[in-house]
This record gives sequence, C-alpha cells and structure tokens, in this order.
Amino acid sequence: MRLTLLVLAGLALAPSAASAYPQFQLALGSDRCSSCHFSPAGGGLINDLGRDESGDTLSGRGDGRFAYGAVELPSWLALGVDTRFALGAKRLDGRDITALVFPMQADTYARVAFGPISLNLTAGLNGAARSRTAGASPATYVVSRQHYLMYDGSSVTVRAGRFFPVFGTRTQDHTAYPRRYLDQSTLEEPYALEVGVSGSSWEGYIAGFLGDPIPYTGAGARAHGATAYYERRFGDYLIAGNARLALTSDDRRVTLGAIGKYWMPGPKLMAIGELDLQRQSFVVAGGPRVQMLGFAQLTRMFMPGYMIGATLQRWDPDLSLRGSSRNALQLDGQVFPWAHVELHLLTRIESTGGDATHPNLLALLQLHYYL
Amino acid sequence: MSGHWLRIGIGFAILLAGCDAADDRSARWPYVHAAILRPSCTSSNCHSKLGSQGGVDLSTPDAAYVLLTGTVCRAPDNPGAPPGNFVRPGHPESSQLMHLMRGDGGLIMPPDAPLPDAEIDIVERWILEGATCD
Repeated sequence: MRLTLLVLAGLALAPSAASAYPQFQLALGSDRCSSCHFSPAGGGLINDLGRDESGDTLSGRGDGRFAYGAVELPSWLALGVDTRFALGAKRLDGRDITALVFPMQADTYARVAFGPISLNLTAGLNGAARSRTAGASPATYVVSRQHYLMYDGSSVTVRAGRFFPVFGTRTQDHTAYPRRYLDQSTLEEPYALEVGVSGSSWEGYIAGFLGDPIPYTGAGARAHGATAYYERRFGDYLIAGNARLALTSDDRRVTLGAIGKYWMPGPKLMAIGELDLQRQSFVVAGGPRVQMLGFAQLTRMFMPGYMIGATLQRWDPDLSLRGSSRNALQLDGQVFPWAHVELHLLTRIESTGGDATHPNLLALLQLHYYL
Repeated sequence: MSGHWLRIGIGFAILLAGCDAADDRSARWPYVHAAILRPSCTSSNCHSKLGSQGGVDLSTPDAAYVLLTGTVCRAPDNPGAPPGNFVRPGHPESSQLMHLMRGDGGLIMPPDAPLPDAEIDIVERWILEGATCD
C-alpha cells in the first residue's frame, strides 16, 4: 500500500460555507434558522441566542459569547471568526490510499446594523488543494463569500448582495449532494436579490440571482435565474417546497424539490429528507434530460455534547442513462465539548455508475473552532 | 385507484433503473461541456475561472475547447498543438484527457469522485469522432 501524504500549504479546499446544521431546527427548541443566525438561510454569524445555545444546549460547557465575553461589543456590531482544520484519508476506485491534512476554512464575519438595516460581510483566505499556477494573482488568495445588505422587518426580510438564496436543506457540508450538484458548493454564491415573508409557522422566499457579475469572485456554473422556497411547520415536523430556474448560455435547468423534517422527541431522532427533480435542456446539442437528487438523513441527538448521523444520497445526472448515478452512504459523529469547539468525524462510501465493487472511501476528522 | 398508483410506481421504477446507453447521448462538444465537464470539473477551486488549477480553466465552452484541443473553435488556423496533448482528435487512446479521467497514470480526475464510465464513454466518442467544437 502506497501512502501519499499531502500537506497542503496555505488554506485548502477553500473556505466552506459556515456552520448551518439543519438538524438543529425543531430539535433544539428553535423553529427557524434565523432564531440563532442573522441570515434567514442559516449559516454564518450567529446572534446572541445562537451564542447562548452554543454554550448551553450544544455543549453544556463554556461561554459562547464573542471572545468569551472578554470584549463587549456595541449592540449595532457583531463579529465572528470561523476556522476549520481537517485530516483524514481517501481511497478512490480501489486505488492507493491518500492521506489528507489541510486547513479548511478561515473566515471572519462582521455585521453592522443601523436599525432594521444591516451590512453583512464575510472575508477569508482562499487556498487550493493543489499548488497554484505560477503567476496567479494575489487577489485569488482572499475571498468574500458573502457580502450583502439586509432589511430585517418584523415579518419581512430583503437581502441584496452575494449570498446563497434560501433553497434546499442547506447543510453545512458543501460536499453533500444537494449542495454539490445544485450549484451550492463552495464559492458558488451568486449575487442575488431576495425577499422573504414569514409568519408564526411558515416562511417563504423568492430571489433573483446573477451568476458572475464580478470576475473572480466565484466558481461553478455561474447561472442566472430565480428561486422560490416555502416552508410550513407543524410542531415536530415541517414540509417545504422549492423551485429554481437556472440559465446559462449553454443550458437551462428547471428544478422542483421537496424537503421534510421530522423530529422524534422520544428517541431524540431527527429525520431530514430532500428530493429534487431537475430538467436540463441544452441550447445547442442534445435532447433534454431529467436529473434527480435524493438526500435522506437520520440523526440521533445526545445533547449536550454529541450527535451521530447516517445519510443516504443519490444523484442521477441523467435518469434514463444507464450507469451514470452517484450513490453515497455517509456516517457522521460530532462532538461539542465546549462552546466554540466542535470535532466532526465524517466517513463516506460512494459508488459511481452503479459500480459498488470499487467504491470511493473517505474518512475526515475536522476540528472546528469559532470565536 | 390502486391500479393507477401501481402504474405510476412501475413507471417511476423503470425511470430510476435507466434504460439508455451512453451511445444514445449526443457526443457533440456543447453537450460534452455542459453535461459532463462543467458540472464535474469547474466547481469550487478546481478548473473554474477562479481556481484555474494547473492553469486549466474549463468554465466556458470556448476557453475549454481551446485549452483541450489547442484550436480556436471555427477559426481557420490552428494556433498549435494542445497543451499537454489533452485531446488528440480521433485518438482517445493517446489523449491525456482520457487517461486523466480513467486514472491510467495514477492521477485521476476529478480527484474526489471519478466520473462514471457512462460519461467517460461520451467524452471518448467525442474525441473519436474528431473532437469538433460544433
């Protein structure tokens, strides 16, 4: 067995979108993402309640406040830092094992509020899993994944800038299929205008987005289009539907999806499912094809302190093409020993093209620290 | 009513099972790029305009075509051999792109999740049929 050690200088794999855990909604006493996050989509900077929860409900130990309360920020200012470091190993298609050691994320957050209007900024280092091309611009080493203005009224939110519109399950794992295959991977945030309206048991969002108005700020398909999302909560469960139109010069994609969450307080199990069907048509060549994404996750909460989960994922880029699917089984174990700290062991077995004889194997231990 | 749902279930099962082979799909460049290369190769810090790993930017069909074949689409003159012989029209067996996707030389692309054979076969057919850009 040949063991190749990749020690990656600089930050690698790009900063991931920050820590939104869809399992927490409903399960931990908060019925919506914006209970603990400033963003209605979840992720990124957490608010005072989120910081309290990180010390109480999640870990049961420590002071979740910014800088452990050593710095008292004025009410109009919120700051944060997110860092992740990972080590692990992967084995692709029956080949040699490759060891992985890399820093994942180093992001800083700032939110400046003027009454109901706020400016939300994220800035971080942007590395690469492999060495950069000689002569690459220094500007490519820094990145701002999100920067937007937000109006937050009592039941209406409006956002304008760079961010992911509310869509889908919104897991923190950017390699999860709903993010990887539906234009929500790392650095694929578009520039968007989003309007959200919410009631006591529901919320809905519509957004228009542009793919790449500013060069070198993003990656991926760089489509422009529109999204819609509606979520309704019924006590311990919720159902949601979403739709998206994404256009590029080469193709058009229409996506319809459904999301469900069911919290079982007795066994402390959270079930999350997402199913999306997408029709992709091509401007020049080839007939349209229908794509399907499936995501089913079961998480057992041992709060405070622990969470384990199992996730099945499937991506069919062409439902009627034999041997083109991707399937994955993922097992996660997460430990929250103190406020500000998380250990996350991610293991995944994945097959491509229906060939399960030589699966791709991944084991990754992540150390997550946020301030 | 139950018969109706049974028919829907059978239809859905057939759909999921898949029935077409890669030969039934277009092997034209616009399809190869939009259906296979762009979604699998241009995400994140890989071969996007932002990342351009190894100096390779596959984010747009025109730029990707020039980089892979060394030829400007529809241009009368060939500016030169493709960098690294990524694609040799008519010769998938000596095209580096095929070796990278199949991992023949050790390095495999994409490095996190190899492409299924059904998609590699379409790229191979595009090269075999001349690797034209239209």
